[in-house]
Amino acid sequence: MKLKFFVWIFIFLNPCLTSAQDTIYQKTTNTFVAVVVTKGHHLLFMLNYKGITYDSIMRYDYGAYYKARIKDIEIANDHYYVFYESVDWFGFVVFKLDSDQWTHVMGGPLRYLARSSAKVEAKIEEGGIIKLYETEQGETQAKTTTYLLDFVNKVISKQSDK
Amino acid sequence: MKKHISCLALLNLTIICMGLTSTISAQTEGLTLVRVEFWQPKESGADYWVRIKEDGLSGIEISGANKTKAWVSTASGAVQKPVAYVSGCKPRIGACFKQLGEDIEETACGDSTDPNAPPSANYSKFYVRGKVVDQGGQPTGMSLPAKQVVKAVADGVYEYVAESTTTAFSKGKVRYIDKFRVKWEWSYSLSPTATWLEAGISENRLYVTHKKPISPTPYFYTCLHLGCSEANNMTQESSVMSKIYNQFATKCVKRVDDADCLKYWGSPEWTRENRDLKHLLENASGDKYEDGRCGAWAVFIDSVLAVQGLKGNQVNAIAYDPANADGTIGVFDDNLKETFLSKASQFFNNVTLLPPLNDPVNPTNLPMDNLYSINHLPGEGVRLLFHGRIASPIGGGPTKLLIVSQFFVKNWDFSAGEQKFYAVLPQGLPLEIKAPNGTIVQTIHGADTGGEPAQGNPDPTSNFDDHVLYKYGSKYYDPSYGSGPFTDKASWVMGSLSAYGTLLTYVNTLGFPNSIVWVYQKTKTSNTETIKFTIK
Repeated sequence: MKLKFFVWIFIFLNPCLTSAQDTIYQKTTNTFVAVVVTKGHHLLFMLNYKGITYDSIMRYDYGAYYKARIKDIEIANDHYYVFYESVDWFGFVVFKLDSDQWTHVMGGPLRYLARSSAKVEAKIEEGGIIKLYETEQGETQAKTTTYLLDFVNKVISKQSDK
Repeated sequence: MKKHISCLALLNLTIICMGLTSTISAQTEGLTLVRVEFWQPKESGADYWVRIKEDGLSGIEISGANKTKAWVSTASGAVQKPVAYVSGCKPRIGACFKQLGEDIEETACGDSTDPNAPPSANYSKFYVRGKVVDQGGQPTGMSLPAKQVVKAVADGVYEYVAESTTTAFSKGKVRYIDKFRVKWEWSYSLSPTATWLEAGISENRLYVTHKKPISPTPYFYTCLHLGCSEANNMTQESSVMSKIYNQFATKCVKRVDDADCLKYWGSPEWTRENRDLKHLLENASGDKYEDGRCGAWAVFIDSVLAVQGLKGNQVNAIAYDPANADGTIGVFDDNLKETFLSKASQFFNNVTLLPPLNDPVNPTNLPMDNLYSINHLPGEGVRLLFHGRIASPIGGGPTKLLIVSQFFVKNWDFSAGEQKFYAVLPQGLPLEIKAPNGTIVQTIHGADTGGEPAQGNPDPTSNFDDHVLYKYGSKYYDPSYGSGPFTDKASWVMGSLSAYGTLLTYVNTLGFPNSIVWVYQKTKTSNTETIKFTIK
């Protein structure tokens, strides 16, 4: 709760965030980074500097509109993988931290949740493979789906379904 | 004469002395109330005993299968539990006492005697009776008959074996008594002239339902409390329903003894997983619970009514054609699907944002938002995902593309017209659709003008594949929004929906999904048949 409050205060005291043009990646404090994405609406992450999971708020300019929460943050290949979940999508964003400056690398939706009760988790495996673990309510067996994430081509392709 | 006066004085003195002796004896030897248990009724049994469980995920039963310790004296004060009966029955109440001055805890009472068992011969010298009194201490007319109490196993402990009250709860009348008080008294005798002294007053919540609950299984405490407190003193089924729904209509329904309004889609990122009534009634700290979807709200009112013995039905609402899908979603028929795909191809430029469709009606290369169709996102090129799936129609036949329909709950600004695309954003907010090279292909605008206020939420999510309503009698209720009753489907549609269409997802160049809706038709009285109702 304190974290959310902090970020709200931060938003209101930093007009640069809400008047952002196109894409801005900005480290805001030693502890948090606010990521503002595209003009008109933005995705705001509270990202712990050390890559530990925290709650997040995804919202558009005009007040609370669309929320997501960070499900997990993984560090692999010097990149920060932030996995989020909203009512519609399980997705991810990849950041890199160079000289105290955050850089957005890529991101994408991975699983349309369709307001289902599916519980989805992701793990980064060797070679940049994102592996999804999915459990539907009532099912004890987790389904897994793997995605290959290629930094050069910025392509995710589904590798296999089990 | 003087002699007679002296004799009378002596007699009076003797009587006074006897009285004093009796009072002193009572004060040193009397009974003090330790525990009160409510039992299922004698005549009507389990059918008239309403079982209660804690709200939320734990579901721990508050009441027992056939009795509840409703009042227990402890060193830190009385512990109380609610009890509930069905109207028309006589509650059955038992109690445990300790001898005045004894330092005995409730555990010494042990298990109470089954009132259905043969009477004990281990009677004590004490008699006990109970009077149900109001908040002013005045008798209500309901009482527990005087009878001899039995000795318990522990020394100095006595039991008033559960007994039915002298009068029954009025048949059909709902009651909520926040403090059901029983004044307990003891005496040495059943003689009409016997002195009765107070042993204590028990106090607990007591509920009386309109009729027998639909199911004998325990009900969430809030479901019982809400029904009885709102419909208190009602005797007619229609009044019970009306009073209960009045509370839903406030859009601020609360858990028992809680101050917060339960929410409808209050925290969407959590609500998605909150599918059940137990999630809606869970009060764990944080934003995760006390929140539910339409299904949970329909189950909620169903459960509140079921405790009162009232039965309605959940109603599933979808748009367009359920026959081609699995019966739980609405889909476009082939003509509408072709129209939609054609419009989408034109609008979003099929060269850059979606592939040229290999079939105008059932394309197999159309990216969809289900798990198995988002390959190559967010790579170059394809950036639109359609709301659909590949499936076989009900009854068999070849697989085909199903475009899943949506309807849009008020309020939206679709003034740009029908068969148009709008962003799921606040009204007027631009959403730029870009080709991979950054060129803006289209700019569409947000159309959400603020949702229809719903339970605990002034502006909930408002585009859905389906919605769950509740039908009671011949009328429809929408408990999620506290709206209704609606006399028919058309009334609900016109009062609740802005338009019909479907959903798309545009993945922007940074890989973030943005929701877009395609409005095929705005709602009007002539097209309310677009919505299909299915009784669950």
